[in-house]
Amino acid sequence: MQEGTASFLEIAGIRVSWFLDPHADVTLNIREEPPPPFLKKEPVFDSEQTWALFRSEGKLVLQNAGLHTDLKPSRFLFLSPNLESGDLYLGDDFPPDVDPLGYPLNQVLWILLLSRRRGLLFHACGIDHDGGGYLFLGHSGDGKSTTAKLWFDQGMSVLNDDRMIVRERDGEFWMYGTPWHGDFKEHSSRGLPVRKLFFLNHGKKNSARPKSGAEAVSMLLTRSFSPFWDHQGIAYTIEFCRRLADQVPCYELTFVPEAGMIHFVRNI
Amino acid sequence: MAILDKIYKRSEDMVFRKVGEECVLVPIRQGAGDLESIYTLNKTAARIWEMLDGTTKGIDIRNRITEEFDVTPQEAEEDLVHYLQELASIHAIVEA
Repeated sequence: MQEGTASFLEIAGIRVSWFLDPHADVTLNIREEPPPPFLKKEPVFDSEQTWALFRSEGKLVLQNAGLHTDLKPSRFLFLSPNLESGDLYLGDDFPPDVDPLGYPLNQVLWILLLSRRRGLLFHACGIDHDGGGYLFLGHSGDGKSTTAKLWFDQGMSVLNDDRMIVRERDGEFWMYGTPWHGDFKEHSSRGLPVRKLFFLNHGKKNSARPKSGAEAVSMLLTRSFSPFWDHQGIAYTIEFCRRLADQVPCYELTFVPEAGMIHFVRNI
Repeated sequence: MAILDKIYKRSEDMVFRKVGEECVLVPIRQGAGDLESIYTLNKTAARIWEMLDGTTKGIDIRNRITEEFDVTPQEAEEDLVHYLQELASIHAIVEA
């Protein structure tokens, strides 16, 4: 996806290039070279597998491997403290046909950006129900993709079956599809106001119990991709979840994976 | 030293927020570990949490709990000791 204007000025064999995009929240430079040597690494968060964050000389650096794994990182994203600009360095062995900002850098970058008072990424499936959003949150195996397929088969649009972003817009909570889907491949980047929110569980019969207060906030947090390394970010995230649970009706939904679930949910 | 003679303070690595009369605690982490570790405190525990300010002795917290809630000093002490042990076990509080 490209929007904006790329330009350059070359004088005496010296080229300065720039890219103008008046709508960009973040501008990244891609550098097809290894990163400068790290004099010091201050660990911020280590996923222990696919990514790690650390600070180096005032920059936040995200790499596509844990700090203590055998995997050799091939991409390093250096971000300015305000997260508005950065440099993405690609190691020598980085394949040319692969998206340089592909997983996990894209998701972690969005988690960072959302933590700056923009919203929150959830482990969730989003359904368009007559122009309103139903958000089904769950851990792996709780039934998000199953839910997506059930509603899709009944003619409803699925925004995403695994990763949904929620943001506050003019005092209302909106949910947005992301490109990061699970087993169910249909997805959309559309946004919809969140009308109801469900914490999914498989069960032998359909049932729903309202959830509110600290319990709902805790359930939202455990199904989110929160910035657990960042005091300010997590304080914002808790407050975001408190307002979300306060404004949108939340239910713990135990469901049977059959079409009857749809009628049951509509009547809650 | 008995636990009620000690002075505790909230850990700086624990982010908290009152939600109604309850409280949500989220530990700051540098590793994946157990990302499910998010804690909720009920009304009594949330009030105790507020008083863990690094200057108030456990025994004084017990006395205030006895005044503010409909409990005997013995019940307040049992609850307080239980909560302090729980909070210490998850590194939510440290001795001041």
